Amino acid sequence: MRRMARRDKVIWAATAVHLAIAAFYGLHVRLEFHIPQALDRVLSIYGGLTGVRARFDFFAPEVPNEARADFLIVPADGAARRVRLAATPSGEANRRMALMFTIYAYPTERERLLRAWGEYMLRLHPDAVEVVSRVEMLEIPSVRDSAAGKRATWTEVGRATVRRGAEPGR
Amino acid sequence: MGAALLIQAYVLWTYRELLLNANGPIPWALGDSWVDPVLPKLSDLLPLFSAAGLGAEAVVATVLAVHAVAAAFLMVGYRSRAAALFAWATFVLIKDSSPAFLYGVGAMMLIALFYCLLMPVAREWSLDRLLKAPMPGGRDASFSVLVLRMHLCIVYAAAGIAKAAGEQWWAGDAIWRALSLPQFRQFDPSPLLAYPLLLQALAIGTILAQLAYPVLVWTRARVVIVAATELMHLGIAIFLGLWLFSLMMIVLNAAAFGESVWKAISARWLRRPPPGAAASAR
Repeated sequence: MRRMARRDKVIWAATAVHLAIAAFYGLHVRLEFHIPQALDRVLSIYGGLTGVRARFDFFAPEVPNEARADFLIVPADGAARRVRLAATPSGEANRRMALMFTIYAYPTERERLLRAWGEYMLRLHPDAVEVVSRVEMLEIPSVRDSAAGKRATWTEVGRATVRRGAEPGR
Repeated sequence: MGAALLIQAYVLWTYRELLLNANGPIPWALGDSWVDPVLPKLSDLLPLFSAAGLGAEAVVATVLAVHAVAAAFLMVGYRSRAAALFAWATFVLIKDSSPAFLYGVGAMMLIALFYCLLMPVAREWSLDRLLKAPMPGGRDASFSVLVLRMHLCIVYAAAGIAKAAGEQWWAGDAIWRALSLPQFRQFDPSPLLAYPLLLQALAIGTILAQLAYPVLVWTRARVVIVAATELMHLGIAIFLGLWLFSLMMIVLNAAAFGESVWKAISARWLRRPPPGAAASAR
């Protein structure tokens, strides 16, 4: 049997390592808890360039709740008006926007998200002196509860005020 | 693959003010903080463009334009290796600059683009082949196909295990919830409430299909499991509106198993002997 050329050996070894990383992360082994931080960072960067660090937990283990936000635009004079980010004709674009609101589920990011959305709305509405952002989460009952007549409901989970030229309040 | 990238590029171009703008709902400063500083982002190109008197809008427009051209070249298989390199590099820039808007399709596109860099993707049905351009990586795709198959096995095993760990999937609530979420809702799912066992069967069937995939694709049942998987993705596209994600998964499955499945179908139902059968008979 012909001996494997050195180049082929390197390719096989690299491929084995590549797929092993994909398997560890894909199969939900929390490698980051068992390896040095520096190595974890290298793997994170490698994963960011190749996709091997993906966890493929689409809709799993639970189908997450959906979030949405609306904004109370308060002008210097005149009546305040409530607006949403307009739905686009593209389902793909709308889905990506919906995903953005879902990040609100991460407690560490809430304040920064509300501030970013408020500032964006201030840019969109030059007449506004203040924007009150409100985030709601959709609670979907189980199949059994839904069959018994319980309906999905939007529940407010957070709000924040951003004033033009000022730090955000709560 | 090129077509999927082009569709995505069209959406990103049309809605770049919302999805990629430096001062959009997720400004670069915020999005960048979620990504490792070493990974390339659109904001990294801003100093270069600023030196030429251009702003962030020009960065977004230029990167998207290069990405779309590279995707088009990749689609027709013209200068495939260079096209894959530019498509991958620009995709990484876009992905790392819009982490808030990413979902499964981003992960699958990155995996596929990385493999396009290394694998002989222009081996068949390409302008490069037609023009007899040199084929980097050779014409033998068997090793590449093996790697892609193994990676898909990891993807489906991971997806199946993650679902199996969730109570919603065993109870059938997961399908109900997915169909009910406004971002995925394509029709009123409430008539399905009359058939809770159907919802449960669909959910458990999904878990079992994803767990069986990594085993059955190496057996004689390959045709059945690949066909079932492709149908599942078609269903995801129709009932959840996830057309781009489903297209990517169908493309990846076709790249990994399409030729083998087609040969099996030809031999069994079209009564065509598989290539090489005559020679081996002699």
